[in-house]
Amino acid sequence: MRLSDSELQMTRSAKMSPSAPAEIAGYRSYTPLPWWVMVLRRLAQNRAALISLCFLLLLLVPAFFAPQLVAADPLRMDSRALYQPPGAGHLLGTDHFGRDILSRILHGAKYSLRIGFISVTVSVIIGVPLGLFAGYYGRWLDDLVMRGVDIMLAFPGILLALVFVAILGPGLDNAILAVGVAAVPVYARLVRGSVLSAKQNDYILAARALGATDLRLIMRHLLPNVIGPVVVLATLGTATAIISGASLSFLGLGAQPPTPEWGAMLNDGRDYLRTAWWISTFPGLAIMVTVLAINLLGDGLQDALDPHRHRN
Amino acid sequence: MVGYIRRRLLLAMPTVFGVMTFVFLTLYLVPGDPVTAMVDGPISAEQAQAIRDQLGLDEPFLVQYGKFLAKAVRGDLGRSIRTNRPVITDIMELLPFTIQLSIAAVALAVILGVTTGVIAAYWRNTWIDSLSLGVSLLGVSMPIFWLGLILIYIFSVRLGWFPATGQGSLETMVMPAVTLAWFAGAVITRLVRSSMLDVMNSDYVIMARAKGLNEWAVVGRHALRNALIPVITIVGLQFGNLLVGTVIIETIFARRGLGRFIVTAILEKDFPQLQGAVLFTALFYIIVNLLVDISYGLFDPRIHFGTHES
Repeated sequence: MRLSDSELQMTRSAKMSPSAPAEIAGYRSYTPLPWWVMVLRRLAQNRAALISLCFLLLLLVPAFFAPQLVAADPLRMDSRALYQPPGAGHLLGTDHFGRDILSRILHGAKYSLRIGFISVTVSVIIGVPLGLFAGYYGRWLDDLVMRGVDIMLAFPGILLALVFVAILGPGLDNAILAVGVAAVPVYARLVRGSVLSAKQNDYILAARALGATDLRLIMRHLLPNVIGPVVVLATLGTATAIISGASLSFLGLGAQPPTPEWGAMLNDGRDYLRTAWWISTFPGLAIMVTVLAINLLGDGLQDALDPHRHRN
Repeated sequence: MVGYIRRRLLLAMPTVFGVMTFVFLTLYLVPGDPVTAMVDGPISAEQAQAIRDQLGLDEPFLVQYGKFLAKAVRGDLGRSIRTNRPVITDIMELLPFTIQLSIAAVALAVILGVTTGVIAAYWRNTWIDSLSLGVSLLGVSMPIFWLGLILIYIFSVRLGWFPATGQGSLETMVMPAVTLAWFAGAVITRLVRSSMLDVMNSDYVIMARAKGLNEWAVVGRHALRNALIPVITIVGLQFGNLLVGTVIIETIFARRGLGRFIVTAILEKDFPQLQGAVLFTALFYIIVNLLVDISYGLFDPRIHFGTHES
């Protein structure tokens, strides 16, 4: 007997939504909702996560349309308007070159989002397959990957990202790549762990008995098991990546002046803290609110994906 | 116990070896010729050759690798390209500053984190709980370099309570340590709270209450001791974050230390300095986590150091 696709689908979604009833003779056939619809429904009940999601979607507007949105050029210097405090003319004030800070922050949204998304994409693209194959094939491949992971995790915090920046050279793109590659071991380890426990399921044995190839097993049966945890990790990882990227820019190793990247702006304003607090304060606030929103969204996703998790 | 420690040490060996190999390879991962990558602007062929000789770049790869390992084991990390000073001398001079700062921050983070976490768990679902959760959420979302600048603005520019820069006295340590401790303190708060909540519902806490012990004894002697076990792990991991966090803190507060040394080494492309400092930090972190592993036995009576333990 060959299991139909919908039956396989049910086996799989049964893991995500155990309440999905099986088909019972005499009753009308019941198609369970796709698991991601359930997840979104649960997420919609979490107010903090929902507000955060709205904020992040709103942030996409300046990230894409800042030039159309703001009249002031973020790079235009104005020697008659140096160190203007926040007020009517310049809502968030001007910096030591007379550049409008609000305009720079809105233009900067795209850099922070780019750092977050691209570096997490890099981590996922490298880390997830590594974890899948290491967990599935085991033996020497697993040993090799996990020893590599151990070694990389021996470099705490952003040290590994710093090393990669040193290798690649300072700059925004290199910093993004460095932050992404440095986070690979975390993803590989998480995915491998999920695969190891998912491998024990009977449906894997069943699918193998039906003659499924390794690749089919990995893609159709193991991958869905790891998507949930990876989505959560990737969301929270975006927050970490944005902070790491901003830290590198702050140290002068990421985005270079005059790029209005938030971390670089903070670094710019450092020397003028005594006279013009607003130069550093607002970009920092922008980083914090963005990261906070991503963290809240990540927490919400975690609860929505795993409703049975004991929540105190 | 001795056998357990020996086994842990043996397990750490491959990682130590791997870290040394990785640090050695960084120089060879640099795209293009390492010498031109290390020097800004044009240099004469003799200068380039001098650097090649100093780094031993013309020797066979495996010979270089072997020499690197042999020297590193003896504590010889080469000489700086810029200053020609032995890297180990610089590191040994700067290390105490960074370790002092990290230890102060760890202590602060543990004290604040455990206290807030216990209070939040004890008065769970009250405004106290919400407040501490809110603050700790801000803590994990706030970039520490921003927090540092805000503290400088408030406490040294406005109020003049603490100096913004400087080194040596206790006063100059306060703001850097608080800034550095903030993130770890927030992480520890969240962990202690959830671990306390688990423990508070356990049979032995209910039993302790039923015996008529006062609340201090219940929380302090029975609940907290057990709730602290996961905290030890996270302190070991966070110590690494703090150690590297000094990269930012020392830059903001203009302090001397290993963190700033690393940033300068990257900006000036001084690879021997960078390799030495990175190697040192990673090894230090491995050792701290080894100690954490070993210390479990002192805190957790359930861990036996028998041979069947994995």
